[in-house]
Amino acid sequence: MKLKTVEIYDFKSISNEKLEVNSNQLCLVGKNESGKSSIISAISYLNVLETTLETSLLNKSSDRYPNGLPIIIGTFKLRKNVYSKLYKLLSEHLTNEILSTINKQSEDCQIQIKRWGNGLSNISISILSLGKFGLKISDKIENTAKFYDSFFKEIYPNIEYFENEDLLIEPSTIEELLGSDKKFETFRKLLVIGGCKDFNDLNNSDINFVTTYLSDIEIKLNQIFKKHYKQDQSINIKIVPALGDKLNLIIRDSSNKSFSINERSPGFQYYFSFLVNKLYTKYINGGKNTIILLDEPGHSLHPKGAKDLLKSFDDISENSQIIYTTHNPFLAVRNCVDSLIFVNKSATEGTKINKKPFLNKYQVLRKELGVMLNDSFLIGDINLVVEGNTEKLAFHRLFQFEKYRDLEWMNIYNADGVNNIPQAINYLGKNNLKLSGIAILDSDAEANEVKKVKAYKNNINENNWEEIEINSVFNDKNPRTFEDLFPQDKYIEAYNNYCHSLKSLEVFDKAFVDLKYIEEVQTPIINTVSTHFKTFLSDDSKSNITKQDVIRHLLDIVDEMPLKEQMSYLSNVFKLCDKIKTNFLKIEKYANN
Amino acid sequence: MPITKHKIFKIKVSDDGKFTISKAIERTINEFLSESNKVYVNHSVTTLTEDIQEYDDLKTICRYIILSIVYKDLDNTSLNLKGVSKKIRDTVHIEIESGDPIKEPEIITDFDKEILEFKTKNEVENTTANTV
Repeated sequence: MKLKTVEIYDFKSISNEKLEVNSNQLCLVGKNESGKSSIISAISYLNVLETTLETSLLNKSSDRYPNGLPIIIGTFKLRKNVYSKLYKLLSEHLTNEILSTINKQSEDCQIQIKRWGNGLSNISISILSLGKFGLKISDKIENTAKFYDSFFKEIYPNIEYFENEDLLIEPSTIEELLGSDKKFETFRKLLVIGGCKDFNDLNNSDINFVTTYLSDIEIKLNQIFKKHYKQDQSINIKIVPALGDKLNLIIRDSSNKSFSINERSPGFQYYFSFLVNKLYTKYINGGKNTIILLDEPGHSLHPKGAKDLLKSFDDISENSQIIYTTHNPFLAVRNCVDSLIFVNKSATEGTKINKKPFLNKYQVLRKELGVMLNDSFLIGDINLVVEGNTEKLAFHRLFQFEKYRDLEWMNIYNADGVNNIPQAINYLGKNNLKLSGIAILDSDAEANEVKKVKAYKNNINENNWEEIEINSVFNDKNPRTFEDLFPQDKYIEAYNNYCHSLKSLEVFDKAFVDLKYIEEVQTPIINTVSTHFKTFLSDDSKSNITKQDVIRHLLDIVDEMPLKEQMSYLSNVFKLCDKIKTNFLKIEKYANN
Repeated sequence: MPITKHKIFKIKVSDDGKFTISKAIERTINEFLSESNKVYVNHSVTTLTEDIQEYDDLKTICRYIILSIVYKDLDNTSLNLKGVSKKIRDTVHIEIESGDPIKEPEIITDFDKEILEFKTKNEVENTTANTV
């Protein structure tokens, strides 16, 4: 079951709002007090059996204040096999007459759960398969408790809400492990992952048994963490008795010194605990979907740690869903801008999700986070000078491919137009900042003019500067721009997708008709698509293609492909990246330290 | 709906006036309260006394303690908790303890609208089929 939407009524600062969950990873961004955490917290109440709605959660502007309770409504999409399970369960709890109104199999069934209080009588469940069947089932169930027992155990996803304090590992006694105090939950989970099925086994009076048992757990944990903790492969875990009856977690790293988990940095503790919880969830749930909710995760993490955490979120989102809030630019989703949700609050309406389909979500993200994302806080020693945002966005994403990871920290400097490249290089180069760099130029008339400018020539001829032209990866001298590095059919598909996304913005004067790719288009392809674009505009329209958005759509298409296909579709771009890498290594020795 | 019932425990007070709850009684009460289908609501304690005449005086002697437990019985209801998990048991107990169910709010979501539309369409089709 995948969460598709959440409607929230009268929850804290939220009067009424609907969150569309369009991907497995959602990142909520907004200023302090905007209500991001309230949205995350509200979703956690879809975990009906482990949360209790209280009047203190009610929105103060609600008509029902101060005695009512908030209302949370979630809709989920069911996979075919999960629907079959649900149908089987329903066949045990519905009369034959009612059961006959729904299909035995369904590929597009959705389920809605409404919660307006606590317990099983204050929720309702409905199912819907568009055009085929629709039914409120909660009213018709014969044995409510038994039905919900199986429903929540076998069908409904696990919804786990982690606050920062939940993600810390505390040394604990066996008695504490056997208890239910949440403080020791991560330690319990760690032992379970290590293969401990019953904490009473640790209480055995036979010291030989306990020590070998713990040793086996340690071996298993070390194997698991070596596989998942990429930040430091030298890490070694030990579980040792401390202060008589307490068990403590000792981490040994490349320094060959042992530290208790509590002696490590808060960032390490957070990352480690998150990893434990993540592995435990995978261990317990098997194939069942889990929805992980995190409020401002990893605020103590170093940018490298934050990036690893984000990678961990990517892994989770392959099989489960993760929704989190952040102020950390390194934790904001940048590969898929549609996964970014902007939250703001006004005095009259309370918390609202900004639903405007932004053409340039990156700019909004920068504004919301209060930083110039990807412009780097410091100018890099080696800079990749590009003509505009299109190249900057593309290289930023391309450098996330494993083989170009070395280039990821290179500063991508947007010259803001080909004509500004000479000034940019002059600013970065020998006369001013004395930095090194690589200039990427289109193979067209404009770029040829730039090459003649004195400020450009003076700097690019230095040992620590290199120039790469788009045509350097082709065997002819046809005019080309950055867009021509991509297969033309895919570029046109991306262009069509982009134009469809503009429909709600009323950019076009006439109904848009897809550009068809029939035969090879003369380069630069951007000229052909620009002409096509203009045919749908009014004569006085000043609109133009936002090239970076077309590239974004294109890279989204590529992201969905298997790796082998990606390699083939991006072969020209990768050739260019290889040249960048070669030149990067060449000028690295000249870079200032 | 669960029915409200009373369970009465009568505990004898010894002749010397001493009152102790024996292990057997304690176990009986505990067993009663831990039954999944009995949800504790309230209790009251009263004494059963006897007036006896002693040296021309009327003396009131406590003979029994009456413990009355008010509970909701979930047997024969849709919320019958026999054989269900602890999570469901705890959820239902909290629900019963916090009072009557709340009326479902009148919120019609897009999802509800689709169901209503489907229902209406089906009814119209059935009526047409019946008429034909």
